[in-house]
Order: sequence, then structure tokens, then C-alpha cells
Amino acid sequence: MLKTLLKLNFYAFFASFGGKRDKNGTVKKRSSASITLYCLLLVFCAVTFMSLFAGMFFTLGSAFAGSEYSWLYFSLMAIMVFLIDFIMTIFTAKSQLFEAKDNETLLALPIRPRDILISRMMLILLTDYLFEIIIALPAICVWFFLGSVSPLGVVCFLVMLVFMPLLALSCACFVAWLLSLVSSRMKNSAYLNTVLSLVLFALYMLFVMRMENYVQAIVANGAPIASAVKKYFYPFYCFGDAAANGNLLSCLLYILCMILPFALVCFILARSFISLVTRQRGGKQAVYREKKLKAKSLSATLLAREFAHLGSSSVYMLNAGISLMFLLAIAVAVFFIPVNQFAGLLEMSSDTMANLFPSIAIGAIIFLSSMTMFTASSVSLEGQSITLMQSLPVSGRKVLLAKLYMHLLIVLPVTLIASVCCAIALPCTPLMGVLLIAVPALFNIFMALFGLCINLAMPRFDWTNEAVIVKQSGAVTVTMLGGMLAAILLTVIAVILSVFLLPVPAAVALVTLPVLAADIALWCYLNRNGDRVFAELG
Amino acid sequence: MLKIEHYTKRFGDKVAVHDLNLHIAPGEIYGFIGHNGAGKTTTLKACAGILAPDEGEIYINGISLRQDPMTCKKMIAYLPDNPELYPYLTGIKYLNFIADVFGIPADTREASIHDLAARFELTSALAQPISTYSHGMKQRLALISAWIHAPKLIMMDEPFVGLDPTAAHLVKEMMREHCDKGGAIFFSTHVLDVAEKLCDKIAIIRAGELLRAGKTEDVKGDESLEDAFLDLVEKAD
Repeated sequence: MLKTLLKLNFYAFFASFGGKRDKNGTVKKRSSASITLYCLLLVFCAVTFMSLFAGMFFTLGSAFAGSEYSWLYFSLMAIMVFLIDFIMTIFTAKSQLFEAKDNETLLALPIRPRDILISRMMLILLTDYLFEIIIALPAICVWFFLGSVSPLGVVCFLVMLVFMPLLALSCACFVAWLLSLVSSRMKNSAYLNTVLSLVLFALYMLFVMRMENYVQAIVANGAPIASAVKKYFYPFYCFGDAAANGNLLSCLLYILCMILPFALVCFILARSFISLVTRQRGGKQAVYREKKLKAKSLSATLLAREFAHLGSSSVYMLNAGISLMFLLAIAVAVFFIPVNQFAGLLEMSSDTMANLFPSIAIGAIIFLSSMTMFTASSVSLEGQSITLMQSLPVSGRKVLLAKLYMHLLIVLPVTLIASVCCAIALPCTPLMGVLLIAVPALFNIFMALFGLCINLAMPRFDWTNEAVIVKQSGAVTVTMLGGMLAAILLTVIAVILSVFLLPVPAAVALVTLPVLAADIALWCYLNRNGDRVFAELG
Repeated sequence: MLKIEHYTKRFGDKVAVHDLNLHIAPGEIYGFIGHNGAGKTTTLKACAGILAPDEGEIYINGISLRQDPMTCKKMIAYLPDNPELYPYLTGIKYLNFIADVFGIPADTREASIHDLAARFELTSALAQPISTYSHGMKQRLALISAWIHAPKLIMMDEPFVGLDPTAAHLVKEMMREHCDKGGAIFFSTHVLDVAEKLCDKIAIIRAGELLRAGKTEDVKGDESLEDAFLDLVEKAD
């Protein structure tokens, strides 16, 4: 039975990367070019992260290889794998295990809940292995390069790799179980999920940004850290000892430490699986009491509908708007940039400073703005209910404009905050100050319109999970890559023009003209064709 | 009220509906009967302005749906077989949204929503998100939203599926009331007993072709509607 369920889950997993269904129900396969592009993108990401980790392991390896603390190198690697696996899979575990749409269907069949649970956990384990490879492969390669290889240690290392993600998987599933218990008693759990995701994301970013400092601190304080790892994180010590010294007993102990929590978590989750997945969501049911109803204009009610949809989905909020966090971070961080030090180092005049720094800020803000994806996924997110809107006496153009306004109402204030903070904190001429506010605003209008038009050209309504649309749909990918490319091109052209031909403000203003033209052209397209294009969707 | 003239719809090579002609007058309950895949939903969707015809014209109250879809849609309500309502809204927010779309004044909508919700015994559930509703509750909410703006023509695809006997009885009553006030109903169903008792007129469609249409007594003759339907389909095969 488990084998059958595994096959079903893997089929569903790979199908999510497959073709899309057209209006007549036939499935169009992805072209080989798009598959190749997708694979290249994945390889590029993997190689980038592996290089990052290789650099870090080289510093650690140089400090510990051949010393009495050589095991610490592997222990740190194991801790890192655990943390990354854990952080990256909590929410996947929650949605895969407890929110899958087919849970009730499967529970109605003669299948043990334990088998359903384990089959789903295996899919998460696959993701864990992927993260593990990205960290473990550079670690072992660096170790080989530094010439400190013990053959038995390598065998132990390879065997332990198989069991390594089990602890992170167990912890992630357990936390997901707790989260599901809590959110099943809450009226609106989307906000809880969003806040938790942001906290985890902030922790991850903090870890990545300060990684170099941590590595230096570990290298400088090897002995006390080694003693702490041995004392408080014994399983990770066992891993290090087995991999570095080929200690078989440590290897066995480590494997045991991975398997036991996994078995325990499987036992606990299997016992409460049925009650959790069949629980009525939202805690105590609200009872409606007759009250005064307010009438809204058509535009206002369509806009309210867009915001209600956004507020109900943490996946939508997070993935489409994560870059807004970075924009707010820029607004704060800009006050801590030692501008005068930079200027002194580069021997700049105050005029150059007053033009250069705002230009860099504009480049950074528009680059981050190119990652806001509200409109790029909003059409596809209508899903099968698109026909409901099509059957109502509503102009398609107005529906699309509501999506556009929602994007702008969220993004423009945040961009304005970032721009104003930059204008205050950085040396800035009045003209550059105006450009600092105007250029990102125009670029955001472009991104909102561009995303909407791309989503209209590449809609997808056959999804079963919103995450598929917000994270990996063609419209979102094209909009993001197109937006990033546009932001980079505009910045590069502005720099070239200002170095060779024009004063900086003139160069910035000049490259903004195509953005303005694109805004006008896309706006006209939507106004002229919105009704027709919307009617043809679905 | 509804005039379908030479309506044809193709999906690729497949002809879903071919040269369909139907006239539905005010005050009529018109049943649409056929096997699965016969073309009932395609026709209803076309009349609701969701699927554009490849050939032919559809008129609502004398106005061409192709030329003035907005005016036509303001006069109709369409209820699909599996209502895809917005799961992220509560029942009351959904009804308020529909009322906003049809521009119903606040006081009128209040009375109308509360009255219909009470009739369909859905009042207490209106504060809950639609995502928590059962199929029957969604169906009742969709029915309320169909009646909320007092449309002239109501089109329904399998309206009785998922309804409990009380709600089904209420819907039949409301259909009759609606037609007595001069409105019209066009609906598809597989429940031939209901169609026989409820409909003033019936159309039978098979593989996109209209086999017979007219007054219920004329369509079924001396037989029951079920026998008449089976005979017709057998002959067509």
C-alpha cells in the first residue's frame, strides 16, 4: 500500500512541473526548451549555493583539518544541514501532511493513516536530501582537497548521509503538527502562517548574512565550541567523530539518534492524523446576526474582493510580496550607511556624492520592486471561479483594474517610504530627490501592468494549490525575470550615459522615459482590450 | 424572454451544440433534458454570456447577448452545476458583493438577503467562510445570490443536486412564484420526475442536436416523461 501511495505522490509531484490544460481540457506538454531552461535555472541556483558553502567550508577546513578538533568540521556541517532542512520544510510539511485536498478521500479507503503519513513524509524527505547535497557535497570535496581523508570515515559519512535528514524531518513534521493544531482552532490562520514564515525567513537571512562572522568566530574559538557541541549536541558530535575518525560506534549512535525521533514522531502523528485532518477549521463557528449592510461602488467592491483573497492566503501574501520586506529593510538600513567614509575612500566631491548615492538607491529600489508579483499571479488565482465573474454584469476591464489597484496600493506606499528614507539619509540634490521618488513609482506601475498583461497572456486555472501559481507559474517566472532584466538594463544604461554623455539626473530621467512609455502603452492596452481578453479567459 | 437562434458551438473538431433554436417566454419554466455531454451546460453557459457562440445569436428580452452583454447580464442570474463561489469570503460578504455588483441599494439588499437567507435556513451560517460550507450550503448560497437582484430570467444547471428535500421543495416553490410574477426559468436536470411535474415546457437534446421541444404534455404524449425520453433517444441512436 505504501508503495502505491508513494507512486501516487511522486506522480502528483512531477505532474506539477508538467504541462497545462487548455480550454478544451487537453493537456499541453511543456516544450523541451522550457524544460531545459528550468533545469538550467535549477543547476545555476545549486552551483551558486554550493560555491557559497565551499568557501565557508574551506575556511573551517583550513582551521580544523589535522587538528584534534577535526570532527568539529563535520559536526558543523551536520548542524547546518539540520537547520536548513528544518527551516525550509516546516510549511511544506504543514501543507503536505495536514492540508492535502485528498486526505479525506484517502482516509475513506482501506489505507492505514500511518501509510498516508509516511508516503507524504517521503516526499518532504526528498526535498531534504536536495538541501543536504547542496551542503554536504562541497563539504566532502573541500575535505578531500585538504587531504585529511580517512577511508572508513568516508564510508561512515556516506552511510550517515542517508539518515541525516530524518531528525530535521521529524522536527519539521512535529512543529507542523503543532501549527496545524493551533491554526485549526483559529479563525484566520493565514496571518499566523505569514508572521511565522517571515520570522523564519528573517532568521535564515540573518544566518546567511552573518555566516562569515560566525565562521570566523568558530575558527577563533574552536576549543570551547567543540566542548559545547560535544556536551549539548551529542548526536552531531557522533557524526563528526564517525566522519573524521572513522569511529563505527559513533556512526551507529548517530544513526540511532536519527531513527528514534523519526519513529516517535511517526507514532504520535499517526495517532492523531485522522482527528487533525478532519477537524472543522476555524475553531468555534461564528453565528451571523442580522445587521446593517453597507453598499459599495462596483470598483470598491472588486478591490475589497482582491484584498479579501490576499488576506486569506499566506502563500499569496508571502511569495508575491516578500520583496516589500527588503524595501522596508533598505528604508532602515540606509540611515546606517557610512556615506562619508565611502566618499572619503573614493575621494569624491560632494556634488558627485549627491548624485551617485541616490542613483544607486534608485537601482536597488527598482530591482527589489521587480520581485513583487501580486498582479502576475492574480488572474490565475481566480481559478475555476473565473466563470462566476464572467457570468456577472461586470466589465472585465474593471476586474483587471481592481487587481492593478491592489498591487499599487500595497507596493507604492512601501516604495515611497524607502525612497523618502533614502532621500533623507543620503546626500541628495533636490532634483535627484524628486527622481528618487518618481522613478521607483513609475517602475512599480510598469511592474503591476506588465505582470497583469503577462498573466493574461499565460493564465492557468487548473491548479489545486495556490502555491503552484504563486511560486512556479510561467507568468510569475516571466514577470520576475523580465522585471529584473529591465531594472538591471535601466541601471546599467543610466550609469553608462552618466559616465560618458550626460549629467547623472539627466541620464536617470532619460532612462525613465521608456518606463513611462511602457506604462502608457500597457495602460492603453488594458483599457482597450481588458473586456475582450477577460471574457476569453478560462 | 430568452431566444436562442441557430446556436452552434464547437470545441476543436467536436460539435458540442448544433443549430439550436429555443424560445422561452415570460412566465415559463423551461426544462432542458439530455444525457451527460449532450450540450446542456454548453448552452446554459452561452446564455449566461460565458461561452461565445461560434454561430447564431442569443437574445435576452430582445437584446442581443453578443452586442450588449452587460445589459443582458443585469437581467439574468446563472447558477452553475457546481457553484465555484469565493472560498475566502464569508457567506454574507459574498451576498453583499453580488448586491454591490448589481447595484442594489443598501436597505433593499438587507431585506432581500435576510428574507432569502431565512427561507433557505442559512442565516446563522452567513458569518462563516464559504470554504467551510458543505456542497448543499454552497448550493443554497448560490440560489440566494441568484434571487437577490430579482432577475427576469434565471438559468440553472442541475439546481437540485446536493439539496435536501426541504430546500429542493422550496426551490420548486420559488421557481413557480418567480414565473407567476412574469419571470422565466430555464434549467437543466436529470431528475425527470421533477421536470415532468414542474416544467411548462421541455426540450430534449442529444449529442448537441435538439430532438424535441414544446409543452410538457406534447413532448411526453401519453407516456411518462422518462419513457418518452428513452424512446426518443433510442430512436435517435
